Amino acid sequence: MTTTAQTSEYTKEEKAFNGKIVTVNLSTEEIVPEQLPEEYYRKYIGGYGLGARLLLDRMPPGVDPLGPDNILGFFPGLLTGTPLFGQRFQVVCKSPLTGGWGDANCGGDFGPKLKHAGWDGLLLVGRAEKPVYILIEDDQISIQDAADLWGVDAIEAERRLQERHGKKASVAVIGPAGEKLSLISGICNDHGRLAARSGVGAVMGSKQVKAVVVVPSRAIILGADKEIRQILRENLNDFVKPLTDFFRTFGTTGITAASAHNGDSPVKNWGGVGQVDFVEVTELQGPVVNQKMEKHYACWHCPVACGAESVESTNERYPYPRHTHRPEYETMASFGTMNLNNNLDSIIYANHLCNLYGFDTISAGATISFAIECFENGLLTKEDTDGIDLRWGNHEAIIQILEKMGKREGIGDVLADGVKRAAERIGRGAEQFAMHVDGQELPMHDPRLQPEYYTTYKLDPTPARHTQYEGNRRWGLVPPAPKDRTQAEGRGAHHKAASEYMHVVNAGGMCQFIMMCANTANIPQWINATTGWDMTREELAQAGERIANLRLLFQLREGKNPRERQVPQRAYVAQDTGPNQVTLETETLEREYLEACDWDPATMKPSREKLAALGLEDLIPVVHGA
Amino acid sequence: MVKVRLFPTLAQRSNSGREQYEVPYQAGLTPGDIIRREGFTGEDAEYIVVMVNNEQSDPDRTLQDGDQVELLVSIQGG
Repeated sequence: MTTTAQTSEYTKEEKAFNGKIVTVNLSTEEIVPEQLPEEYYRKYIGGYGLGARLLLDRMPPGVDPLGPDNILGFFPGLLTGTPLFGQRFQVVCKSPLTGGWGDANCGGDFGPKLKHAGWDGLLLVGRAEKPVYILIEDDQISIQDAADLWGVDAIEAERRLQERHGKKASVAVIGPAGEKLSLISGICNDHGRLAARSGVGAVMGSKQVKAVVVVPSRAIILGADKEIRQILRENLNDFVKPLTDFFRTFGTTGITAASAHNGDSPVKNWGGVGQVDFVEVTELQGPVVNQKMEKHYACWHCPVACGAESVESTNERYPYPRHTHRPEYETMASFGTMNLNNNLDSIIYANHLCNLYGFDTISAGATISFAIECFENGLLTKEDTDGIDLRWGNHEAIIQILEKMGKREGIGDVLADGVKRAAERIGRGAEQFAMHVDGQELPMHDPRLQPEYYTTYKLDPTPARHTQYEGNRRWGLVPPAPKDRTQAEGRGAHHKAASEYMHVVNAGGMCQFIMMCANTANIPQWINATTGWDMTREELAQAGERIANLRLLFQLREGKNPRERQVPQRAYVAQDTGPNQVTLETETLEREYLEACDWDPATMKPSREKLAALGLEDLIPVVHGA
Repeated sequence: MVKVRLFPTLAQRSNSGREQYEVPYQAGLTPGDIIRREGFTGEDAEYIVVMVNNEQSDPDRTLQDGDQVELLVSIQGG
C-alpha cells in the first residue's frame, strides 16, 4: 500500500446522488475528496454530463491525450445504483483516438458499486511511476502496487483482485491492449462488459493504472423504500412485452441475421450487400447462438437481462471458456457480416479475446475487415502478415490477426491503433478502405436505412457512435421523423430531440435497451422519487441539451470542428443493388440538425444566446472570446 | 396465399403461437390486419417491424397474392 486517504465528514446519502467526487493524483499520490453543489446534478444530471462540465473546468486545451495532464473520469449515472433502472457508468477523457472529446458507456456492476461506496465520480490525474491500482473501500481510498498484475489479461486480473478483496469487489480493469496503449482499447468490468469506445483504455494504460477496485459496504440505494418499490412494480408492468421478451431471450444478438440482409449491417467492410455477398447467415441467428449459451446474464439489478453466458467451447480451434459473454449485435456484425464470417465459434472466441485483451469489439472487427480488404487488393501480402492468408471469411485468419493485435506483434502492431493509423502506416492508398470518422471506426448500423445515423456519426463530438441517437416514442418529446428514408428534409428537430433524450438516458445511467422496453415518459418520476426534486420532462430534456453543448464545447476548444470531418462514401452513397440503393442528402441532414441546435452551420459554435439560455454563460468565452 | 413468419419471441406471445403459416389471400389484406389478429395492439404493435418480400414495409400496405410477410421486433442501437 502506498497511499491512503480517509475523507472527512464522509456520509453516504440515501438518494440518487452522494454529492461527492474524489480526485486521485497519481503523480503526487494525493487523494482529494470534494463536495459538489446540488445544482450540478440538476444541470448536468450525472455520468458524462457531470464529466463534461468538470473536464471543461479542470483540463486545459491541447494536452497530450496519453500524457499526465489528461484526466480520466469514471462517472456513474444519476439513477445508477438505485432500483429504478440505473446500471451504467461512463468513462470520460480527451480521446487519444480522435484528439477531441472522448467518452465510453458501460454496464456491468462497477457504476452502481462506485455510487454505493459514496462517490458520484472518480477523477484520475497525473501518471503513476509504476503500475498501480486504486482501491476504494467507502471512504478509505488507496493507491496499491500492481506490478504483479501488469501484463495479465483483464478477466484474470479481475479474478485475482476479487480473490484479494472479496467477491463483492467490482473491478474496472484494462487488459494488455490498454497497457500497450492501443488506441482501440477499452476498460472492462464483470469479465467482459466494456467501456469500449474513444480509446479510454489507452488513457488508463498511459497513467499506469491497471484497475480501479471498489468494495462498498452497502448494496443498494433506497432498496427498501416502499414508494420506490411501488414505482418499480408499476413501471415493470408497463414494459413493452414483445421487446422485453426479445431482449431477454436473444439480447441484441437476435437482430444479427435479419440485419445482415435488411441493409442495417455493413457487409464486407461496407463494400458489400448482404443479400448478394453474405447469403449464408445460418450461424448468426439468435436461436443458433443460444444453443451455445447456458444461462442468462444481467447487469446490476437489470429487470431485462439481455445478456447470456456460454457453455464451455467444444471446438479446439476456438476454446472459449464456460461463461464467456454472448457477443452483442455489434460484435456479431463486426466479426461476422463485416468479414463475411458465418463461423459462430470463431465470433464467440473473438469476443472472448477482445475481453481478455481489452479491445473495443467494434473497432477491432472493423480493423480486421480493413486489413482483409487491403490484403485482397494487394496492399498487404503474406510477407506482411507472417504468412496469414487474410481473406474474406477466413475465420482462422481473423483470430490469428486479432491475437497479433493484442500482442502488438508484427502486422498486429500496425492494426492495434485502428484503421486510420494503420492506413497511414500501410500507405499506397490504404485510406480508401479505412471506414472511420475522425479516427474512430464506424459502428454496425447503416445510415442509408436510418439517415440520422449519418448525422450523428459525423457531428457528435464522439464520432461514429450509434448510441447517441434514438427516436424514442414514449418519451413524448421527440417529433416523428419522415417515414421515407430518402427524405432528408424535416429531420433536424427530430434528431436534436432524439439526441437530447439519449443524453438524459446516458447521464442518468439508464440503459438504452431497458428504456426501449420501459415507459420513458416516467423518467422524471424515477429521478424525482430518488432525489426529492420536481423536475419535468422538459427540464430534463434541457439538461440533455446542456450536455450536448458541453461535449461540443470541449471538442471545439481542442480546435476540432466536427463539420470538417469526412464520413466514408460507402456509408451514404447508393449501392448498385440490395436494400440500400439510396444516396443521402447529407448537406440537408447536417444543416437542418445544426439549425435546430442553434449551432453555427460552418463552425458549429453554439450561439451566445443558446449558451446563455442553457445557463452556461461562463462558458461563452470558450468559443466567442472574452 | 400469403406466407407469414413471426420472429420466435413474437410467436410465443401471439394468438396463433406459430412461427410460420399461410393465410388465404383476400383483397385489401394488410400486415396490420395480421398483427391485430395475432393480438398485438397499442405500444406492443408499434414495436413490430414489417418486412414484405424482404423489404421493410408500412403495416398499412395492401398485400398481393403470394406475398411473404415477416414480423420482426424493432430495436435501435445494439
